[in-house]
Amino acid sequence: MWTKATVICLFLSAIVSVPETVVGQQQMLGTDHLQLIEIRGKQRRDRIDGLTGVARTAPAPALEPLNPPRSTARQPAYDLHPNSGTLTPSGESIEFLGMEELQALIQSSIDASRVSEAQAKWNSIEQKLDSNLQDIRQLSQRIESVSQTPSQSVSSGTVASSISHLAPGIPRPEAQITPTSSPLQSSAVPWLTLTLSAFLVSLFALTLSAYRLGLSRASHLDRPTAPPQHVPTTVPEQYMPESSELRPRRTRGLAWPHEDAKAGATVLPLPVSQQEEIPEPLAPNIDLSTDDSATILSFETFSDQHRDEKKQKQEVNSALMAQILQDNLNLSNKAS
Amino acid sequence: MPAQNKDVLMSNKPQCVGIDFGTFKTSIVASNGNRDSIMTAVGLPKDHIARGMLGCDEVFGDRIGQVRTAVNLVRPFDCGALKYTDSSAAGLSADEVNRRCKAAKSIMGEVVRRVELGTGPRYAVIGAPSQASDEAKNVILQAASPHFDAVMIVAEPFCIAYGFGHLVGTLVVDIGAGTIDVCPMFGTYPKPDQQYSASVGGDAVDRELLSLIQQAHPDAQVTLNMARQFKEKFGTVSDDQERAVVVMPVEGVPTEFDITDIIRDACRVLVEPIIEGIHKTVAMSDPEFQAQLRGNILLGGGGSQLRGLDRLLETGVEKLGGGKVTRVNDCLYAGAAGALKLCMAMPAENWEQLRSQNAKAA
Ligand SMILES: Nc1ncnc2c1ncn2[C@@H]1O[C@H](COP(=O)(O)OP(=O)(O)OP(=O)(O)O)[C@@H](O)[C@H]1O
Ligand SMILES: [Mg+2]
Repeated sequence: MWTKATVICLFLSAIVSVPETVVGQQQMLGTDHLQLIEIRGKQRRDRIDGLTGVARTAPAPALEPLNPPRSTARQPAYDLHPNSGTLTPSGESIEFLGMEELQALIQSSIDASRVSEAQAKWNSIEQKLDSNLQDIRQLSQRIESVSQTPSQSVSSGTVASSISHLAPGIPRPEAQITPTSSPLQSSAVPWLTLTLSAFLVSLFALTLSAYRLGLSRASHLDRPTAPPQHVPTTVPEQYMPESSELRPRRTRGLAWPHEDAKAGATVLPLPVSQQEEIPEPLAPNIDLSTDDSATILSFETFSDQHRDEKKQKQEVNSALMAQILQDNLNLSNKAS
Repeated sequence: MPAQNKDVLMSNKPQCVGIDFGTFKTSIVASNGNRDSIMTAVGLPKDHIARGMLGCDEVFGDRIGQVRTAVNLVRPFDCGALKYTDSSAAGLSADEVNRRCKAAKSIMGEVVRRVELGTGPRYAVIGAPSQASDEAKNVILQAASPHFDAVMIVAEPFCIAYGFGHLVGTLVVDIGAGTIDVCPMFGTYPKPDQQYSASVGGDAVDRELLSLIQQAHPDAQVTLNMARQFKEKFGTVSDDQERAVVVMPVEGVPTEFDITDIIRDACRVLVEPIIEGIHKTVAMSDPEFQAQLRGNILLGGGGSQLRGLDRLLETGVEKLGGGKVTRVNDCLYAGAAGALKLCMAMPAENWEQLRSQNAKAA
């Protein structure tokens, strides 16, 4: 009963905890993602600020979320390479603002005769940046929506694929954004918990059964037993043959009626099928899914069978001994 | 418990031994944990000079090999005489019978001395061939009774089976030096007429091998002992075996001979009697248990070590309905260990009963 209840409780709690963790992971991914977008956007803005004095005149929010999500600083070349990628959220191709472009812009803006031309260029760039910003907002909204739907089975792979769909030139973020290899964040955690608790439960059930069995065994010991024999009936371990084959087998019991053996009649063993039914001693199969009382019951049957088998063996043995003694008494009679 | 009482109890503890008193070798296993095995032979000094050199009247075990030229070897059960057959059947003179009985006593004394039994009643279970004659059993009894308070004689294959705990549905085949004994186990003590014994064994193989070598290589100098050593080293009954190249002197010059085919042919002398024994004992037993017996054939004794014997016997048993043949791991002590197990399992009252009857008879 205990076992069942505990197992069910654990199972339920595991069911509840599994999606939670998965969702938490998704949310974490989303937050990280957005934070990174923020950071990268800021870096980009600072860089532009440093490069151009004119950048201040440009609308700051338009520049802010320009960078697509990036996680590591291992690829600094990204910002410096011109036209390093294209964003295609709605099918159209948008070029990134590269270093050379910016320099050309600065040059042209210094040239007073081409101020108006530069202004026009600025406007087009601004438009491009605006559409970029929209795309990125769209993306972040998608990420957010994905992370807020727990029942939907969305993996980090889906988010990653949507990001890579927007920016195929950028490495998939799953390897960089979230340290998925970390054991504490992987989906193995709930299973580990589940396995551990299942193990503890089985340990508890085993202890309980063993304790109860001990009580039942102790009660058997109170019963009167046969008087001890002077000559030990089994060969001590050290006198036994070394090879395991030479040792007597515990499993194969001898099976025939006590009375027949005592009467000295020619007795025949039970058919093979019945002999083989005798269970292997000392190896009870404990099934945790069954009720405890059933387990105890099977233990009792087992120990009863074991005792019967032992008793039967003793009877056979004593019949054999009597026969051998008789043969030898006859022999010594004949000799004298 | 006071130390004195403990000592008294310990001194009354029965000293049990199991003995395989074989034609070729004698193995003893004692309840004090000691065991030993020697050749069933005694070396008697050839003359006074040899006696003076050896410093004793009898030589046993490995020492015989070292002083072979100075002693006359007596093998009490040579060719199964006095063990399986009566002295008259073996054609032994009264003198020879006396000499052999004395040798048997000496060997028994030697093995008992080697296991260093403590004080306390001494009981022994000794293996004898399944169908040993009463005279043969008496020879064993007389050899052992001076050393023990009570002795029981039990069929050799039964000892092996008892040691393994195979008391039901097993056919034990003991391939010794003097005899091949086949004994079916039904859970009861097997009666002599349920068992089978053939007076063929390792000794017969040695003799056959010697004569075949002499026929094939007349110039080679070879003895029965050398033939036995060749057999024990290269003994096989199968065709696909490594070449048996042995060294035998030719006019004093060591010369190599390939005797692969000769050894195989000599060893195959055993196969027919074993198959016949299996066939007869299975046919005599309860029809419902015949298949079980054939399915669990256990080979014991030194002869079971012949390479390929188990497989060849399985092929031979196929025409009787098929079966499975296995061999014991420790053929040297399997019988003696089973005898000891039986000795210790025997209730004290049984030993007392036998002891008092022996006392009355004496
Ligand atoms: N490796 C071996 N290969 C073949 N034969 C062997 C091998 N080792 C021992 N033998 C033979 O086995 C025989 C001895 O076997 P074992 O000791 O069982 O006989 P025993 O008990 O003395 O004789 P028995 O049972 O007939 O009285 C000898 O003939 C010996 O040459
Ligand atoms: Mg033997």
